[in-house]
Amino acid sequence: MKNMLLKGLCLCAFLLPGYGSPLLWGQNPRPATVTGEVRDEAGNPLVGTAVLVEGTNKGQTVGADGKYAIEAGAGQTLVFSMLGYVTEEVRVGNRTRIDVTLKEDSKMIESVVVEIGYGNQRLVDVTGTVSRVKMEDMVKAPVASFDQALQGRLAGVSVTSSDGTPGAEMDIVIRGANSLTQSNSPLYVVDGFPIEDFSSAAVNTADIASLTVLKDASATAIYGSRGANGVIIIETNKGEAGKPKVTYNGTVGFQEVTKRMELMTPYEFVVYQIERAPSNLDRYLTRPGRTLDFYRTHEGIDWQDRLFRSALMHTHNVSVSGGNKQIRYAVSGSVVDQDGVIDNSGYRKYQGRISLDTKLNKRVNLSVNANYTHDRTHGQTTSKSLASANAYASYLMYRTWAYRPVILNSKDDDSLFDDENDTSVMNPIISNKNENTTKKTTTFLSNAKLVWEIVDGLKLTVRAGYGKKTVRQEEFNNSLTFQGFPRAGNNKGVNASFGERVLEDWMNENTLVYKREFNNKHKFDVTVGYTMQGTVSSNYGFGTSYIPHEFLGMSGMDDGIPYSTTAVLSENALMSWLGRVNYSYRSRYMFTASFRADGSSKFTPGNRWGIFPSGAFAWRLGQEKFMRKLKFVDDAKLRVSYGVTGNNRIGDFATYPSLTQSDYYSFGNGTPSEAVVPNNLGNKDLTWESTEQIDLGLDLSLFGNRVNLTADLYRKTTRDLLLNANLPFTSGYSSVYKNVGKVRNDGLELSLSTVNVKTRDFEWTSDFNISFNRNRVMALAEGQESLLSTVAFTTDFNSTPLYIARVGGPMAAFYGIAWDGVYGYDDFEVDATGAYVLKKSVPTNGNARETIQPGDIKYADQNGDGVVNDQDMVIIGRATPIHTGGFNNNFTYKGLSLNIFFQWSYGNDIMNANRIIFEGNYNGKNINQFRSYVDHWTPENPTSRNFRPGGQGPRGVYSSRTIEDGSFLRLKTVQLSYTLPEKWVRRIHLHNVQIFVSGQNLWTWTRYSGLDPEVSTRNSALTPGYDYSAYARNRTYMAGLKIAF
Amino acid sequence: MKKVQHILLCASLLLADACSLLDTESQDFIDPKKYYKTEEQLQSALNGVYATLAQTSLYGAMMLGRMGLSADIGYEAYTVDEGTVGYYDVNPADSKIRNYWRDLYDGIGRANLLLENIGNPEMDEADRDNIRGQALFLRAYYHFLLTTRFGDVPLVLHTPASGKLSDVRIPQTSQREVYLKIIEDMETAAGQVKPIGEVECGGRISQSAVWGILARVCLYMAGEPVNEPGMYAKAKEYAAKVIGTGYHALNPSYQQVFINYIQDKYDTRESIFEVEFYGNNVGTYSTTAGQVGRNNGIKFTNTDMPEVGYSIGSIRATPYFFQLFEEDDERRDWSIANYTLSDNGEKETVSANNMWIRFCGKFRREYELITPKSTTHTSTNFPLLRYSDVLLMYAEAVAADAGSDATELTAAYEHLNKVRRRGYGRDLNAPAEGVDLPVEGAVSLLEAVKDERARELGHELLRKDDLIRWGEFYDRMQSIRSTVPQTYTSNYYVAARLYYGNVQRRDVLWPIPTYELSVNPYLVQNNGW
Repeated sequence: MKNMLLKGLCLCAFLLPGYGSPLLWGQNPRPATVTGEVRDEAGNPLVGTAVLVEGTNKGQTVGADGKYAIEAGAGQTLVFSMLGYVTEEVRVGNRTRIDVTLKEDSKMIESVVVEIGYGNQRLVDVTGTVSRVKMEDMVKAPVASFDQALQGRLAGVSVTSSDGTPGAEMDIVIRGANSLTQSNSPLYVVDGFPIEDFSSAAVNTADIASLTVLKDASATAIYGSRGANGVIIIETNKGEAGKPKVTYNGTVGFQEVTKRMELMTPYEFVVYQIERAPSNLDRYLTRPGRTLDFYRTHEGIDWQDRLFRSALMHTHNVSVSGGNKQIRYAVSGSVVDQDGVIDNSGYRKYQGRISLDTKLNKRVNLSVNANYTHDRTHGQTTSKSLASANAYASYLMYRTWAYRPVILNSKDDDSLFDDENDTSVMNPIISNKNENTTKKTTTFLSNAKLVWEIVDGLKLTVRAGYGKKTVRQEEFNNSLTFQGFPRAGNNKGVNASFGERVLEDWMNENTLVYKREFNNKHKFDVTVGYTMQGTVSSNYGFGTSYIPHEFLGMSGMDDGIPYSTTAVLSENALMSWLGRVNYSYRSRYMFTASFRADGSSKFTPGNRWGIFPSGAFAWRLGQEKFMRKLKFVDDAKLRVSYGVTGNNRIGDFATYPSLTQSDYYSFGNGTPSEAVVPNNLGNKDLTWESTEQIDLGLDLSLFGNRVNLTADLYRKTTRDLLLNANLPFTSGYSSVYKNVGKVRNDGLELSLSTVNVKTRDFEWTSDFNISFNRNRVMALAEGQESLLSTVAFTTDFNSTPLYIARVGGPMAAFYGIAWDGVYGYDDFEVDATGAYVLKKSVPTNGNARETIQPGDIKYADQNGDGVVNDQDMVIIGRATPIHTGGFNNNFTYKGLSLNIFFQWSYGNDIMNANRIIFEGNYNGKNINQFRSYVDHWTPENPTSRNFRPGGQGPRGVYSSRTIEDGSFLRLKTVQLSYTLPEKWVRRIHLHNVQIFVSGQNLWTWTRYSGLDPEVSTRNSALTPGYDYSAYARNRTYMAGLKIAF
Repeated sequence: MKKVQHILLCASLLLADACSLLDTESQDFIDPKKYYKTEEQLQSALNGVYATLAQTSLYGAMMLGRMGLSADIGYEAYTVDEGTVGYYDVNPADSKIRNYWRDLYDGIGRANLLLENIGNPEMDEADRDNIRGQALFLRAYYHFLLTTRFGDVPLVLHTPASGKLSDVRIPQTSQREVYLKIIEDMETAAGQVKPIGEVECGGRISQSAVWGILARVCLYMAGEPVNEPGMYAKAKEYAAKVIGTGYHALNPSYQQVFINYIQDKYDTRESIFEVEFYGNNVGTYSTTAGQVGRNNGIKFTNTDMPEVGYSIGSIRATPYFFQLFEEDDERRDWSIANYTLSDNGEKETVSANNMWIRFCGKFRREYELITPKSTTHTSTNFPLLRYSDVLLMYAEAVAADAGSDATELTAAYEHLNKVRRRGYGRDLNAPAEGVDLPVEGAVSLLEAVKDERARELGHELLRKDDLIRWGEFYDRMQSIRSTVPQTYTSNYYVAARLYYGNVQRRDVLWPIPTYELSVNPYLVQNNGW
């Protein structure tokens, strides 16, 4: 058997080089001019058809009249090709006129090739679930990075952002989260280089030739321990043989916030303040001329107006590509400059790339790729607190909404605090203007690929790659910022910090692929490979305080007193064996089996190796005779797959116990001596988190390929979850990594592409996708029934759980007290002194019974014990959507084309924590409120559901009052473009000119009352959908130009 | 064929070579297996055990006036702490209580890891014993701080073998057993640490410190809620051991005792054991400074005048405390400041009838030597055991122990009177008329000691424990509650009403933190929560 195989191999090696020989030494008589017309089946001229003399560089395109004229010898062959039509080859012979009718290619889809990881495959032969993004649609979105345009494009790929911060990376989760506490982001494979910690900004959208998402286990198992979260394969543009092609694509436009919160007017504010605390009379009404009537007409200050701005954005892309048979090249560069819609924030990116493909000899190809990106985000994170005491007051949007909208006599707008001892009210503008926070990321990615076709059908591919990512963070707080202002509690004075994290990745992958076809019936290919990859990371930083010369900025930080230094070094390595077999019988029955064995340095030797197998079967029943009878069905394919993949996203040394030198103690007033203390308990038994996935898929192509439907059902079960499990403090540690629990995701994905209208000049196509995913916790740590999670907000709330992951329920559900409006008069009895006393039968809201008054907040007493407390917490909201999706439409009429793209999310709730403060003022501070709180309970307005000022009940309670429906439908992208007629363009010696206008986030339909329903400022699998002080989302309007020379 | 062989060969070579690839070595942290090899390394680990004392959740900040430990003699008036244990508004999720629990067990873990590795280095056995004794004592002391606040607590004597729930879910041990283990460990430690004359400062644990704290532990165990009266004899024995060293003496000036702490001076004759604080948290040593005087000082919040000394003034005295003193007792106007500070740092004498406004005056920042004074931290050490406490403990143990004889009773009175003479600024060794209490029976002695402890040790975080072990906590708090003016609106009256109004019978213990209950189902919550 083995011998036969070898003989076959040798035979091939001899036969195949001879294959092209007739062309090389065939006769070549004197050429003559051949003319003719090219038409489609309806008789219309097929403008743009390429006519090529086979084996030469001679060729031309068919003009507007459908005619061509070309020199060709009698022995030569003309090749007529046009996208969407079956290519015709015609031997010239003695003819001088050759008319051709091209048939529409209903099998065009058959030629589509997709990346499947360590190779590619014709789409029709693929057994796994693989989705491709239509790059031509994606590039229409006026955004800085491709991930922002990916939203809503693919079924089963959830792309969300925590808020509108410019330059922030999107959170991508494929087919639901597997892991409770560890990363759920997919593995990226960029030009064959697998990268776990990938920065989407590093690749220019315009450079992406294809973006493929591997979803089911059959497709991802080849990436083994890194495949469980799905895989995104990006292939970048390569040069094509031909004369240099130069394109420029530039846009310019502006952005504005999609929404502002409506706040109390100066009059309403003053009335509210006096109602809340009568002592405020002094503050607002005792100054000369200050009466309530004064405030009715007082213009006040709109702080949102001063914070938000109309911001410029422009982008530029230039690329040059070309080459000949030996060398092909592609060089490109891009610039993105985006000001933030919030003052003193923005994003800027410079990127360049070069790609070379060389044919070293007939059988050896070398490709080299290098990409360099530098980006810079500046401005503070609005959803981050600047202090731990009174944290809620240090967030940017709090400061903006809370600050008094009126001018006080004695204080102008230029002081940072009205009252230096009360840092809960700070001028929102001054600090924001003075804060200097930047994050600079530099990414260098390079790889080389050598492909050696040892014998025909047998290819050895050797890849080597090196990547380096440097993230540098700088922060300078001068004396006019919240953190640098010399107030009590600031023990750093003017301060600055600096940190640099460097991540270096290297890899080597060697694969051997053998492809063979027998009798046109049996097709198979075998891939085996061996790979190595490693990551070395370092993190250095330092901070200084009491910087004497603040005007020097960052360069003055060396004069300050050092208060912290950081130096962390780490590394990990991965070594793998992989293999895959694809077999197809008549392109009708297809089988795939793959495995990968991964060894990771992250685990101890006994647990180091994991094996990740998969298998899939596809039946292209569209090719069967009985289906052929159904004329409207062009093709149909059923797919079923099963496989196991893994997740190893934990710290490099999580298995090890460790000590750290992080404390000091001084004896006898001496210089403190260092203290070495336990740091990590370690867990030597840690092993892979593994995900089993079953997928059932159907691909349908109907009505002459005008309708394409893909449906997938899946079940993903993840066990041995890598969980950073809480430990009893009595252990001396607070958490340890463990393999515990089980999570399941079930889902349905539908994608529908249709050609709705197609006439000679007008075409309307649409792409619709919808995904349903339900996730369920099957088991938690030994005996644990539920896992509660808190989010960092402010002291009163930091230990109040808001999320629950309950066995049998989803990973995250909102958990809290059910709100029941306010106490009305009928809840009270009037005692002898005329005071209202809560009836015995009415439960308290958690405050002492005697303090509760009409108009106070009322909660539901679930256990009927008369007191509302922790024991009355119930599920108060759904944290994850029921379905999400996108709907894309392309309309073209001659040179005009219009793209309209909608995206939605349905069924998820949001905790609008802003309302805890701005719709009721839970902490009773001297701050402004949302306008919605003008309507609150008063004796004159006893029907209001909003509690009276001061009637907020106990602090630190999350209730259903501030849970809102976060469903939305968004008109995400619109682009209208016009391609100039070719004859005009030719006249100015250009190849193609397109002008366009586009818009992003143009309109959102939602019932959510906050700034934007796509929000999750504490985003993690356990804590989604939390909104506090989110960065406002931007609406973008752009105009642009695309020129090809 | 050869090619295939060649490729296979390459691949297997790669594999062999790459196996070592997966054996990465940690660079950033210290592997416990490779540590504890020298005496210096043991010392560094011991420093870590000590450092627990200075944690923010403990003596570093929160215990200083923000957790209700002054009970009937002082109340908290710092609105930031409303709704927390500082105002006796206790709930099991209180973060200060949780951190108190967490950091003490963290310290116990530090001690256990050190004790488990203490045999590793080759070193002088006496030096090894000295380290062991200190670690053992601190582990016991941390258990002591836990059991006084939480009652039955897990007794943790080993580091967990792994993170498995079976290894980390430790049930509570009865308070009595916990006390017995504390006493046992401290007794072992007493034989290993150095005599006080040989230690470099009051921050280092000496034999006197261990004996003195042992006396305290025995007294606590003898009283409520364990009620083991046999322990009074033991308390007496250990207090007598400290006195018997002949080394200790009261500092002639009561004020100077505290000025010494403020000015970073040591007087190990008087101050037997203290928490060491260093610097002002600026720069590298960001965990070594404390908040003594900055929290429990005389309120002053003008940041533009760093020379005065910022203080949140978290503790104000009650009239009851004021009235415990006689007019010429110098301790009164030192423990309770008779002035407040104006916004520009001037002392403003408090009018005689304004009793509730007065701050704790023991740790006055005006005596600090380092300028400018930090608004957030001080280097003032905090007393854990003073000689006067030992003298009073001796007196109390004699009074309470049924087996005391007349000689002991006389000695007890003499010790008590020494403390009183110093308080009145008299010669310590000469009988002082009008100050000395005449020798009476044990019952009067006990009552006298109770009040004297308040006068001598007020605001040194012992008062709540004293009331609890005497079984007087709830009644005393209620009696103060009835004296708080009900109508005045100044914020400190509001605070006092909240503080005493919130007290319930359950408050003799804190609740086991919610977090801990959620991860360790073996724990039983304390009564009332």
